[in-house]
Amino acid sequence: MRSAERRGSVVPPLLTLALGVGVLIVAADIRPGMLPNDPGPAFLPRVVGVALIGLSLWLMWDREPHEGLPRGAGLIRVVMTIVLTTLYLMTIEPIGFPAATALFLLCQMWLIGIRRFAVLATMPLLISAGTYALFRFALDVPLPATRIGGLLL
Amino acid sequence: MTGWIEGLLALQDWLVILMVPLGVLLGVAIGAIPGLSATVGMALFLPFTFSLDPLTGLVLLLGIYNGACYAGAIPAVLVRTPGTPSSAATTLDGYPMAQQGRAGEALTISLVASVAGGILGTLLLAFFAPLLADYALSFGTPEYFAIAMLALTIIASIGGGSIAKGFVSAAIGLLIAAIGFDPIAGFPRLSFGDAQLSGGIQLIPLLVGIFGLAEALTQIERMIASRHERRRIGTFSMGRNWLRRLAPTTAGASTIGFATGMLPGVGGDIGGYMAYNEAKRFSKTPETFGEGEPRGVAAAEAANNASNMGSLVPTFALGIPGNTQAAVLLGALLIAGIQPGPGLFNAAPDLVYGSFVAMTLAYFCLLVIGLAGIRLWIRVIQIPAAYLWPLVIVFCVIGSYAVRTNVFDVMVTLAAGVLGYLLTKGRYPVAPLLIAAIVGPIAEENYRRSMILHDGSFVWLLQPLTAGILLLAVASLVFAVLRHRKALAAANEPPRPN
Repeated sequence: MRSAERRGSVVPPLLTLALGVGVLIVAADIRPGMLPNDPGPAFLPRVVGVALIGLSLWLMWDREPHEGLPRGAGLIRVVMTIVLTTLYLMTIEPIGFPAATALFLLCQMWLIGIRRFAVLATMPLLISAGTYALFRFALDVPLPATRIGGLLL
Repeated sequence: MTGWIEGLLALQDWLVILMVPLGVLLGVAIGAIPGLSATVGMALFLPFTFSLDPLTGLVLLLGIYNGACYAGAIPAVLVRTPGTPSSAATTLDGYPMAQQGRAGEALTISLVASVAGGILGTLLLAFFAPLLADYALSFGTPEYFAIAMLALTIIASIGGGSIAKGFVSAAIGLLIAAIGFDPIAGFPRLSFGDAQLSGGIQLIPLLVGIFGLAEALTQIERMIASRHERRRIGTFSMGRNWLRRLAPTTAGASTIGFATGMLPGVGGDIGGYMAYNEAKRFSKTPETFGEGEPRGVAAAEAANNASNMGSLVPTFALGIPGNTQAAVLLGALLIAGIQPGPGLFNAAPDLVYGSFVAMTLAYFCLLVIGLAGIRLWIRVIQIPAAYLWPLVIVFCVIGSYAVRTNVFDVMVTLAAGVLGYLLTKGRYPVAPLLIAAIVGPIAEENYRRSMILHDGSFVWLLQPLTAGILLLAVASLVFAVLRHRKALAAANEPPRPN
């Protein structure tokens, strides 16, 4: 068995085991219920913790195939997408939805491989403005506005 | 009867009626794109419903559900990639038909069978759901606990692949559901003193992340400039004597699909495969199945549409989602402040019966829209992925932000998206996670109430109905383990020499 495959077979059961143990530790600090005969607020977390520990053993025995994590360009695209989405949600309130969305789309499209200047210059702005107008004005979904100079978009 | 009258009266609102074709149109466009399943589409369009009244929003989502379910057959036939999981069985004969230059015929058959299966399924839903709801009015906490356990065992074990992985996914869902104030004592748990976490994890950001964002990450990882091969479509006619050839198969498959769909957690894909197998078994020419047999396409499509309607029976009547799409509908109702379950039929008959009538209308709309735009839908699968998936992420962010205009919910979506992506890579099914997150609190609350009401005794587990349902749960688990072992044995068997 290749080392990557072996790692792939062992890591999920170990993570499941660690999660189960962690849940049991946290559940130990949950206050007991006040009603008589109530199994209490810690009941469900305890059941899940024990189940996860049992399932980790089952997973070790039951070695099913898995895809494994991506490598190379695929991995870079996924990690960068997560980073860009994190930055997107961190900027959505400070700079507003239209500006944050346009910047996110610009970076994301470039990441995916779009290199045509005309597309990168127009599509993010059009999509961002279009979705903002649709949700904010047509559907009354409150999205944070972008202030450019004295103009509130 | 008064419920039906109230439902019809509710449909006098032009906005509700407008949502029927709009939902179907959106659903067809969504279902035709591989990767954008009905669940993803419904999750993405959920924020559209926030500003609408409950029936209008529900009708929009049901239209998307019905439209996407049919349109999943388009890429299944043309490129052997089911647009939605429920169209998986359609590839078995649809793709061979396309290879023979009969793609047009396969697409028309899939449309007509979808509509027939959907309408029959809606009629059966309208008949069975009120009966079950009436019966369920007498249910107490033990019965609800048992039903929730049945849903959990079926969901975790029937998703295909590893049963253990299904249960791990369900356990994570239960854990997520446990975050926040507990349902009986109101004490915070698993929140680590964080005020946002104490409020619990909202369902919508969770499902938008698990389905929408996780799928976007998966597609972005795989993104390569692919071109679909152009295939000769052929005629869209279903050939001579089509009604006589296809009607019995369609009727039988719809019934099987509906019955399968009523079991919590059994999706249209399983209904489709079961009906396909039965159509093949009852056929005088079983050898033609898999080689481009129109009855195979009709069976798979009729069954998966009827199965979707079947999945709405426990959703409306018990408040327990029949499948993941039903879980999204349940989430939409809960956000609108409506508690699904047996009481819903008396509390909001306009909503329940109005949605039954709207679903029937949606299938007639689907027939018209499907036939009129069949050449256009074929082109939808060629939308450039480079524009589509970034836009899906934007919709995920809007959808989760709009729930409470709160960035914390968007963070939940991001975390759920990464979790869903990792689970998918490890071949852990994600559907059990979502359904466990919904059903888990029902199971916990009813278990604890039963224990309190029966002075800490387990005697309530022996009540006939409760014990019967729990036995069913055990049986479903045993059945799944045996089936899994059989599949493993078949996979490990060495190939026979020719």
